Amino acid sequence: MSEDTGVLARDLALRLGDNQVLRGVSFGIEPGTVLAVLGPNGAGKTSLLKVLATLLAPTGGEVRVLGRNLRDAGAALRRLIGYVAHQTFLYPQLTGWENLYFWARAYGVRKAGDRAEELLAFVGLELHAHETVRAYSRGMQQRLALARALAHDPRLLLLDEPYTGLDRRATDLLDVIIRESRPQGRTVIMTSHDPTRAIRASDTVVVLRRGQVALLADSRDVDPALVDDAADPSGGRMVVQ
Amino acid sequence: MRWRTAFTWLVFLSVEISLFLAFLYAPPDVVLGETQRIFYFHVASAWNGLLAFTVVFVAAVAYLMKRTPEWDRLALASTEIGVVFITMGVVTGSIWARFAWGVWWEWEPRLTSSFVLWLMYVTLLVLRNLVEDPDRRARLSAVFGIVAFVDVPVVFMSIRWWRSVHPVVVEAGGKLNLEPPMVLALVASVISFTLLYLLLLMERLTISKLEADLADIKRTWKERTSGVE
Amino acid sequence: MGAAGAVGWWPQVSALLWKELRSESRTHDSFTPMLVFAFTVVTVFGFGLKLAGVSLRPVFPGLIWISTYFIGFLGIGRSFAGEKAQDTLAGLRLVPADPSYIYVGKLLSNLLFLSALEAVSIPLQFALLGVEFTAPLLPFAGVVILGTTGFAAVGTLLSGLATHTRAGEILLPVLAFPVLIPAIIGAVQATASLLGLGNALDWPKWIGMLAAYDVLFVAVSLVVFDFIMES
Repeated sequence: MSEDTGVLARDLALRLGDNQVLRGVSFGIEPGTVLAVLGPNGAGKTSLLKVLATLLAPTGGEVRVLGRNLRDAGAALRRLIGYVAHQTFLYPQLTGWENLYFWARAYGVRKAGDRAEELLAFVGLELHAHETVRAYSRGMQQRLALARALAHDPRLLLLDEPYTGLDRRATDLLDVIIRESRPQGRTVIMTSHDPTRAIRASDTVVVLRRGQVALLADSRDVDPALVDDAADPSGGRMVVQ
Repeated sequence: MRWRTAFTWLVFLSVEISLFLAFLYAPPDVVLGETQRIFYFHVASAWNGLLAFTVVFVAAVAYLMKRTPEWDRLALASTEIGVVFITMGVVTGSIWARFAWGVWWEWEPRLTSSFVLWLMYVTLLVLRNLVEDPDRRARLSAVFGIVAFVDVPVVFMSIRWWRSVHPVVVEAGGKLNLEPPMVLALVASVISFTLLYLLLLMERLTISKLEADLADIKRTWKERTSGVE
Repeated sequence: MGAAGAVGWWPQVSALLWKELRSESRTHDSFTPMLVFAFTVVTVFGFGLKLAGVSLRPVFPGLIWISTYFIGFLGIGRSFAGEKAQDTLAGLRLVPADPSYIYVGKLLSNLLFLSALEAVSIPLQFALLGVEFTAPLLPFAGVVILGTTGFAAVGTLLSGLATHTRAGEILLPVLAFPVLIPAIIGAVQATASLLGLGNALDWPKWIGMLAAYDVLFVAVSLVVFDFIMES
């Protein structure tokens, strides 16, 4: 495991108000690989992603992202991270082009206008570039949200429940983005409560249960049907073969 | 807890002494007569209001840097007590105005400034009630506590300039010729009120601490009884 | 694929300003209600005071600033409302720049909206309330700009604070008015002095005070804004 380029969490803890959301989470992944974070609702998947995105500061432990300590990396690190959250981070009153142009500029991308057009073509929205996002279908909005997260060509892509509610076309696009990440050396971390799909798309699987790592394994060794058991608080069968 | 009891008695004693000095020892004012005696409590209250809000500011800055709930509890305690003192300051000032100047309210610099101060810190208490999440409440009220405190000298200065610009309506009685016994009574009032502030602050912090402990116990109990692990 | 550029601050400020202006030009969510409200306020003052036979000139400096601030709250209170729907505020925080860029971008766009509004509302008040404009133009414009900047500096900060409370933007005037009292005093006194009400030589002093107020609260806001933005 090269410490300097992937993502490495050591004994990560997060406390939100009265809730201990994450406790002693440790895992490490190589750059250019795909990690799936699985687990039931409330296991801490979204919170883990928010920590990695620098939206929440961990209350304990250490996280190294792309060779830098998350705690003191600041703006320089945020430039390397792309994040797709539950919300799209899009302005409904602006057009698709305007949204991408704004976010590209905000991330300091040179020639943001060209970049916006390039991205619109990549996600197949070039014909709708000058319609307001409010008029987009949900699937189109999600494709635009993916394009938004890619605006600054991030080295780490965080996807929170990316498959939820996607239409066919957006699902295919997502598969392409994940597949193309590996040769580009881009690291991808995604959460999902759909084990089958997530395990197929990933190289490594982490199952969270009540804020703790219940299972950390190579995706090829994990049977999707058994992940639910590992995540189930009352079951608790470990399924590494 | 023995020293706490001792301190409570000390505060009691010092308040008694200052009451004696203000009502019996100090002579009545030449112009205002007996009504001038409210002046001792007025000054002491207003001074403690300012002291309390300074503590709020320090606690707010410390909270934003350290993020420990103790600093927020100190900020809350000092805000509440400060509002009580500044209310007393404004009310006694108004009574003073009634007898010194013949009106219940005069837009006089110090009185007006105290009133603006009162307004800002009552607003701070209102703000606290409108945020549920404890961390967020502490954070947002710390920010407002800092903004309000930074505003205090500006408020004082602008009101002073404003009033000095206009023809002075009230000046007689504003000047006080203090005799030595009066000075002693004033100093005693200020000291005893400051001690009272400290005592109230400690009591309020104890209550806050107990409230926090109780919430902790309730949570642990809930986790123990509901958890399978 | 394109390359990410340098980490900065002004690029983000200008991007945000562009976004605010583009949104506003598309929806007119802030400016139109403010402008209509400006007409309403002048009409109400007219009915309430002018028709009652009160001479408006002595109270005009107060009227003009109270109405300007009231109208201003309508727009400035919405500074962060548009960032709620898709949690774009979280998106803005993830941008590689010091979060104060959000404050400065919003402050500048608020200043532009308020200036555009005042360009209409202030002449309107003079005209409809029948008060003759006798002030020297340049110092008067200076007072308007400084009084507006102080209002926007405090308003933008506290608007961000108010959106994170249960009451939302309704809380903004409650939070902001006590803090704005020095700005109100300064702006009203300077305006009175310039209109020949009170001491005609006073206005430079008040302009100085307003400028100091503006600098102070922009500086304080830059320091504390980050704490408001945490989710």
